[in-house]
Amino acid sequence: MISVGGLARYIVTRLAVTVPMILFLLTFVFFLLRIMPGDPVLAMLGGRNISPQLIEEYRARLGLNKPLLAQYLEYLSKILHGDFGTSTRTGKKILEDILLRFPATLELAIFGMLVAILIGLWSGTYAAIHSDRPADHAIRIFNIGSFAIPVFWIGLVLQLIFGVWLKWFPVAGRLDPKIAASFQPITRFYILDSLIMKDPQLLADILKHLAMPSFTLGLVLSGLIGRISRSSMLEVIDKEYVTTARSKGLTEPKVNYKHALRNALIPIVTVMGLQFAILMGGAILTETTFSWPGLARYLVQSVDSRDYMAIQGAVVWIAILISTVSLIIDIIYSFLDPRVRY
Amino acid sequence: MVRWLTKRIHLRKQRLLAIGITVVLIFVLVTLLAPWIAPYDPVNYMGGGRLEPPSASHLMGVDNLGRDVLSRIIYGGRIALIVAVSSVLISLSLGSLIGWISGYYGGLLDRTLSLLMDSLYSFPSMILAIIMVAMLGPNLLNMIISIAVVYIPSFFRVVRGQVLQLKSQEFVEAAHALGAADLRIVLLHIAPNTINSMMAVSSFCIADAILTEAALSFLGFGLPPPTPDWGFDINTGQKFLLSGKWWLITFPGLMIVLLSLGFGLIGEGISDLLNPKRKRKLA
Amino acid sequence: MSLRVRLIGIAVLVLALGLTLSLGALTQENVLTIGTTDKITQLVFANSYDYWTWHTFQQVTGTLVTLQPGSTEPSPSLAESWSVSQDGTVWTFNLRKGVTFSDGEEFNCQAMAWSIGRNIYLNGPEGAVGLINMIRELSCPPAKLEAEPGVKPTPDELAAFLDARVDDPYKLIIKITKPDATFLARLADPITPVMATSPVSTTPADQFETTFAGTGPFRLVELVAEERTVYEICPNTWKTWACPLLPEPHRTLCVNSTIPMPKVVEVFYADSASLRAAVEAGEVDVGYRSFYAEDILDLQRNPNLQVLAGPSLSVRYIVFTVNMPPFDNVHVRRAISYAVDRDELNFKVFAGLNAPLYSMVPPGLWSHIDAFPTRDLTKAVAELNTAGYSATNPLEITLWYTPTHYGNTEADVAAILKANLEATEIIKVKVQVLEWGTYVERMSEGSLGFFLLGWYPDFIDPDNYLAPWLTESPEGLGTYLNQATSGYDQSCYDQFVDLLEGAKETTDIGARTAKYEAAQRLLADCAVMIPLWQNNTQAYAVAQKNVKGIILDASMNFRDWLIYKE
Repeated sequence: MISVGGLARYIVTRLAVTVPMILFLLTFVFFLLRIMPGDPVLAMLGGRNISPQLIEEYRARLGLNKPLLAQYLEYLSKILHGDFGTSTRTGKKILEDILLRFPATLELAIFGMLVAILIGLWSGTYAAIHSDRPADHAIRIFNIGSFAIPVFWIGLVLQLIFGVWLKWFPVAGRLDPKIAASFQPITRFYILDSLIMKDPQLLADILKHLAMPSFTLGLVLSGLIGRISRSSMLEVIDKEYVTTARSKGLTEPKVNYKHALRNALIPIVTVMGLQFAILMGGAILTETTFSWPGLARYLVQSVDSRDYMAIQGAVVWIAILISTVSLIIDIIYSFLDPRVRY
Repeated sequence: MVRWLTKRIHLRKQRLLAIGITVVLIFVLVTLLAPWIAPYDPVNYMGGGRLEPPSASHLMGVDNLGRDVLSRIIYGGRIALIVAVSSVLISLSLGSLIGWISGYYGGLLDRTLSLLMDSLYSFPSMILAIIMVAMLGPNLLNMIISIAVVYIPSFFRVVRGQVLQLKSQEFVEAAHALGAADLRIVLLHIAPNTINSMMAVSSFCIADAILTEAALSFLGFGLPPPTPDWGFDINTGQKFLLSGKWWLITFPGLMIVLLSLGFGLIGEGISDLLNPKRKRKLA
Repeated sequence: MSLRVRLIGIAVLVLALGLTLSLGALTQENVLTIGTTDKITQLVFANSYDYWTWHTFQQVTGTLVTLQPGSTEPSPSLAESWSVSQDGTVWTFNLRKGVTFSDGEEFNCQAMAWSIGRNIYLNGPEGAVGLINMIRELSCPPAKLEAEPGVKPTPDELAAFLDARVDDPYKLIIKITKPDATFLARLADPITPVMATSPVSTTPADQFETTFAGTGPFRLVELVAEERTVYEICPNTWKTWACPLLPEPHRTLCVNSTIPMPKVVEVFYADSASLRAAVEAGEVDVGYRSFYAEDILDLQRNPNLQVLAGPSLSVRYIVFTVNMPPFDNVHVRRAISYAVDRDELNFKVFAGLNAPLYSMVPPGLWSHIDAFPTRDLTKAVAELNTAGYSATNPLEITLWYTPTHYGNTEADVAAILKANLEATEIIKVKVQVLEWGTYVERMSEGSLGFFLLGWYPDFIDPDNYLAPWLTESPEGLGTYLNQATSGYDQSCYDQFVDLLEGAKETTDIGARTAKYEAAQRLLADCAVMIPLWQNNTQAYAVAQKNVKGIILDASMNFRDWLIYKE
């Protein structure tokens, strides 16, 4: 098992890799934005009566008149001090903007992941237990096919069926506006907020809005989890200790679920870090389709208005997030798998 | 390559591969023969009325400008195939080259390159592609470049791994001792050994690139209309979704699924060939 | 699967379903909800220049003069009356007494002049302060703030101004550089930066503020970007002074406290489809700006909803950069003007809900005439032949558009225009797209020759539909008429300067009308821009049956404080 000192050492080692990683992404995006055509000042001005002197003045105000390298170093030192700069589009501190939208994205991502794990784990386990029977074939086809479904498209199809035709779920937003009118978010993780407030009606409305977006996001990832859980279940079922358990007289279902499932979880946890990156990409499309007020939409809008600082800020934030998630997953992994030591 | 395939494929056993190849071949044929197959001009024909559902004269219905959805879908396959295949070819060449350099020379260079590639790999490819294509400006070439960048690390990893593995093997060392040039070593020994897994990775990447291309177009970062493009046509159809004009999103969406699935199945099939034991568990 | 696992699963399902169903009857009668696809950029007077942000300012604060429901003439608001000197450069405003800001502070001359002066000082890059750049002095005698062109009041001067002695706190004098018939209209503009903010509750003069107290009917309670805005009826004096100014029946409703509603929530939706779904589901009471044409048609068929159509002064048009070949040839531009099919465009893209537009000054605004020709392919071909083009020597051009800034119908518009022009069998059109930032950059450097733009007026006056492209800022808006290379276009420019400058020097409406009519005819002849359609779909509001008091007028101001539920 883990020793505290070993874990600390491991985290330090990981950070030594993570920091250059974030730095690289930041540098890449920084120079990408500046090499490419398109001027943030002109994007803001939007074709108005404005003199060239004034344009220069704004450019100076945004620090865009300095040499590229100076801009870069200045930005780096600011980031190190936790200053992400100010958005030219919203006029607010970028970190504030991000923190405002990020909980919506994370909530969607977590529930998307949850849906993916539930579907994937269940279908994979079911397929493994009923290996080579029709159910197994059907699930395998679904698992392969799920990779090929565009997130935005399945979102629209679900909207058409459950929103437009059946009218079961709302097609947009996080909350019914009438409820939103009197809702003062605390953490901005709405589910958490509704639990803190002990308001079942609020919780129900939040879940109702969350249902289709998280299902959309989860469905696309469920295939991979389904495949992994099927194969690791198959492997585990064959293994000796399950046989041993069986010989001890445990009933069939307990064998399958208690022992096998725990071991099947390990490979699923390992891919979750990478999945999280895919999830963030999928979230952009899901947020667009369902008018979800999250970070991904913020990023697309920032790209549209050439808001350099905001784009950089969002990229750095996502990079930090993904590194953190993968670190956490590694730690969880070490708890799940007794063989891993740090 | 053909020989390599015929030697290994027993189509009855490799059902996935067979289905995949069939699907992809059908798409390639249809898009190549588009001018003869498509019933109408996909861009300038606007005589179908407005938002007409599927009928005998327009099998997949008509969009709001009076264009034939079927004809646009047939031509739309061209863009999907061109963008996905050429961007993956670029990633394959660049990724392999960098992977080979990195694996072969090792040391600090290897560590740096690996770090860079890992950074790219761990970052959501969709977000990266959006930023790149938006900054470069939407045209065919820029779209291909943007998508190509995000798949470079996939090939880098495969090639670097193979190179590291093979480098330790004797026959490479022997060749080195005989004074063979670096390039020759690679061509003679390493390339043939990696080609199998490269083909599988390529298929998976193309399958994913088709989705990325469609998503970029859907978000409005794609090729300028009226170029027929599946992702963009879904975007157009979205406007009429609540009005129940289901045919506008359904057909282009199904095409994306089918084509991407086709490449995905090829990838699966090849993986099975490489690792027969894996077959039972994964496929 | 074990029985226990199954039971838990079933229990969770039942619970979720029950919670979902129990939601049905959730109504809060004293809340008015309004949905939109528009958005707020930033709540900064000196740095905001877009419809919904200005709309938000209108709900929470006020201006010297205003446009009352149904009127396009500036009428008293925070100024009770005003007069202008003989030479037209000194405006004296008598301010209203007994007006307070939402934080309780009293409104007076210093607050008003300070707010304007402060905006002139800040002059944010995204703001519209340029619209009042003719102001050269603001005074509450004897205290004054100078704003000569190029000289701004400094933060120190602004601070000192607030402490200065004032003879009459309800008399404001504004001096402008030269007589301007559009000045009052500019002040009536929903939110030119001319507005009252309380010095007490604002951040320092040299900062872009985010919170402020206003004089409007509502106070801003919450703003969650891209989600919602929440307003509450203001505890200030608005009702006492503003109700009597309203036309009937709003006056009585206001006096009887039927309006404004105690609480208003505005919800932001990503697109028309989401907004429409919300209206259909009863999630919002009113939906406004903007529905797709198809959604409007469907909603009109819904017996549970009312669909209201207002006049629209928003226009869409083509711009040519006149010093770029081949668009420096007036015959090429005229050929395109003859070839565009506004009717097909309107039918195919907008289901017939927008109106074909034949002048930059839209119908509904005084002096409008249908100056541009209707489609005539024969004449288009003749003009092309004159310019030296034929089927064997085709004219190859690029049409540019921007994909999201004007909603996502632009691609369809470009496709139709391409087909229209190619119907001459002489023109070959390549369509190119650029996102807004790059689009504006390229347009302002004059490298887009032929492109689509849109206009929503800064203030309601024909001047604002002509002068910006033709004389005021031809480079900024991409026409480059002031740098015309052909003799013909140079003479166009000279004539526009004469007509448009002349029209501003007089306040006589007859004389002004004659000049603007001449300018519209001249524009059709010079074909520097080609008007395409009037954006009516933007002016539709869809509401539940029990909603009353929605006023859609030419000002396109959406007045939340007039809306109520029965």
